[in-house]
Amino acid sequence: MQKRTLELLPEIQNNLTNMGTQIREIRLRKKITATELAERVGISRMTLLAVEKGTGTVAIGIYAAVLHALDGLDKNLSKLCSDNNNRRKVNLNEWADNQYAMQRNMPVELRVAERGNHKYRSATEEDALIYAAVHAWNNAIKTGWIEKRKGGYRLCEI
Amino acid sequence: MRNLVKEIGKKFQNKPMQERMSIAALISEQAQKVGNYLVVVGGSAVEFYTAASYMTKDLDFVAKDSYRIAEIMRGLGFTCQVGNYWTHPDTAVIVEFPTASRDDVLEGDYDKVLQVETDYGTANVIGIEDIIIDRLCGREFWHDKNTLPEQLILSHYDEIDFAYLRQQAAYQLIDRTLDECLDRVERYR
Repeated sequence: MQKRTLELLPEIQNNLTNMGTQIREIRLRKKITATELAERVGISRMTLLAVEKGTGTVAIGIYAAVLHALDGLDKNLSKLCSDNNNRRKVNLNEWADNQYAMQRNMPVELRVAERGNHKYRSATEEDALIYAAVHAWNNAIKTGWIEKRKGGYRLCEI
Repeated sequence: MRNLVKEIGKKFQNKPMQERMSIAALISEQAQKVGNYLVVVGGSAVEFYTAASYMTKDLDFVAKDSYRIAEIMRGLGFTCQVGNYWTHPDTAVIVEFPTASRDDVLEGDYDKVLQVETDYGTANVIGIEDIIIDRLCGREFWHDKNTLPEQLILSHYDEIDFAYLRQQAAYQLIDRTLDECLDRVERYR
């Protein structure tokens, strides 16, 4: 059977390479040799070198074990998934654009082009929902899709 | 006879809010002809006031009088299968008359009702203040965890009658919920 290779996005690979470099720097600062650290973790020296290179195919358990051997740094791993008290940070405009485009069945790129090149602000998902609704209403009035009339509105075709 | 519901469904294939409002207008016009008065309430009203940021599947009506509702609905091709739910083979919109057995029970003020004109007639939509109160009641009594009241207030800030909003909140015993909501709104303004 042919062995499957994992192809990572360049951004992911960069992050792993940076992490590997940092692991190597910590090890060197602590004046621990690669052989010594590999023995402590219970892996081969080659595997440790793969970790320090940020190889994507090394199991996360091995990364965690190496970090643990470097004074319990694996504790920080769980923080990576912390969502800041369930208030996930989202890119407000990006999120609003996606919602807007999805509801109107239009490509999101068109929406971004239509809106112009504003700077993205970071906000919570809750904020994004609120802003998206306000944005949708203002936009409906601005584009004439919903027209204000005395005593109400008119739905227009655009 | 023209199947107007089918025509609306075809015309607004990817625009569910317009489809719902046009069907609402069509039914309302028919009701008006026989002296009845229908008001769009609930999720469909929220959907309209948020310009479809919030979406629903149902079209909820309150009828001033249950008089000839069934006849009107059947005339338009709707069939009633369960309770007060009406369905049509040419649209996914489900029409509901939650209060068909009780007349004149709009949870709000008829003077605040807005008219929404469409190519198929005019639909009457519950006032913005009353729908905000409705969603705040949902938050207070049903623990709805959404930001719809904030969305509605911020989108229509300049048109809202805040004195009436406060009065209704006091009547429904949700003044504190309204105050909290208004505090949050101020943070976004």
